[in-house]
Amino acid sequence: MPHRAFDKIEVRCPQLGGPVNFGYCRTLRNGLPCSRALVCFELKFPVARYFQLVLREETFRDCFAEAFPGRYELFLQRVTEAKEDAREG
Amino acid sequence: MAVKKVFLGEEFMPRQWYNLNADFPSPMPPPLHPGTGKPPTPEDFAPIFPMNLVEQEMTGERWVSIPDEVLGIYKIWRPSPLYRADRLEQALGCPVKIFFKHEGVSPPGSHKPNTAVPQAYYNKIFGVKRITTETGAGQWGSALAFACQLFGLECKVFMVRISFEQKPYRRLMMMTWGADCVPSPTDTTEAGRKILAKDPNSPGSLGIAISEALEMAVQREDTRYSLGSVLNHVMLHQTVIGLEAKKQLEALGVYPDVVIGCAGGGSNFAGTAFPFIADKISGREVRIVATEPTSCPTMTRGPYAYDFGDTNQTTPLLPMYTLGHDFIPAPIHAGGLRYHGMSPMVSHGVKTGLIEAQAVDQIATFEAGITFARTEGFIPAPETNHAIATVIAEARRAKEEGKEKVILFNWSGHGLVDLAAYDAYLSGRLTSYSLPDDEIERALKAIEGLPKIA
Repeated sequence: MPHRAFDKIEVRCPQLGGPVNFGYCRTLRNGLPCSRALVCFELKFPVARYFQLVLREETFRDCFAEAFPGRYELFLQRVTEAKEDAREG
Repeated sequence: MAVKKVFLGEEFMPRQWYNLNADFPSPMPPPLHPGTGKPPTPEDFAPIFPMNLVEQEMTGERWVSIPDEVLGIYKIWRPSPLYRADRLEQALGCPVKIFFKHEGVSPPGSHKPNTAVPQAYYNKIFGVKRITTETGAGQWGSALAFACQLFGLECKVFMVRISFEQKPYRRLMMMTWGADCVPSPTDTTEAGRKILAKDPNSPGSLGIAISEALEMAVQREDTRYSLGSVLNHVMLHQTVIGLEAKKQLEALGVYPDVVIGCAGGGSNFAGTAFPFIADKISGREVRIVATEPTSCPTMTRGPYAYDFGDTNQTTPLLPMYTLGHDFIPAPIHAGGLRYHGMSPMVSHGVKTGLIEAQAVDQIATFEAGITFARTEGFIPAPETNHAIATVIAEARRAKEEGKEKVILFNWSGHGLVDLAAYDAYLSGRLTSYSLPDDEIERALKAIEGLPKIA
């Protein structure tokens, strides 16, 4: 599949502290890319151009916009979700 | 003979952690809960953290006492030595004095137990029996496993599966310290089961592992969760590094011109730098530099940001995008740390100009790490190499400027359990380009015109 052409390219993930390939990173968040994908793969191939080809404009923005929630904020969100799931369960 | 290292007697160990939140010239805007749009309250953090840690998370007090029980454990490796990197200085031939705090002397081999130990303590006295967490490469998981063992707590670590398989030694460290380390996603949580139902071979992610760890903490009265970075109480605990460094440098009669640390989630950088930022706020001249771990260096042309605030602008500003093969890595620039991975306190420091943010490319970091190992002997963790690369750049700048400088940096951890990364560098697998240009173009052309996938 053409979209998988770059899947085997590897970088060292700064968050996991080990090698990961593009196939992992481009689908990390429920099929959408990790927000760092542009930064991490920029030296490897024209990754921004790739994502502009495969993602709709609004999806591209949602994935990579600087307004993406910070890690602290994401943590708060996950805590709330965990508590809500526990109440429903 | 010049002094090589400064030891600080146990009797001089800091007895309090320092809270930079008390001294920011402008108050740090609180992070906002994405769901409510409001700052978090203590209730938001319960029952994830014990209330004693929630209080620390939210305190505005400048100093927080370090409990004797924590000091007793810290003494296993603290105070950590301050080294003079005179052999590196000689190799560089620059007018600098380089000092580093050696945080690799802790049993887990990094700065992480500086917060793992107090977190385990506060959980213990709160009556918690078990702590859960997630880990990628295992540095945090192993530090927490170590700390929990010393306080008689159970430790459950959800390790991202891809890392669980890549990093056997870190999980063996956790198991040696008595932790239950499992590859996430697991079938022991609802969060894990949902992922496995869609993909039984899921390699996992930090997000999934966090969800699993939180789920377990929320569902069990005797269990809480622990995080190794980003949060305010973690930054607080880590200031033991910088507070010791100040005393050690004072003993030598020197004060740094530049304080450098690598900033991923921000904890080792904050620990080293925050006590010096306090001096900066009081008028002392000192530059504070945070180096972001990124695979991509940037040029000095302008902010490195994906700016969609301008509705006419539909593509991000990527000064690197068109450089192609002729790119010559420029030393270091970043318009700001990618705030979505960073501690709010560190981000605020950057935004208010107290902290300079820089980025170094991956190849330069390993070159720096090798230089350090071949001069000073110690093999740094790959993350630590980012700080070392910045130190080397600062040293060269000092030479160009004809100015003597004193540089302090945090040697945040050793790389002895991460030699696979050095193997990748030494065998040439970390080169910038992995596909020839024509092959890249062909691949992209094949995608053009296809329906978008999302």
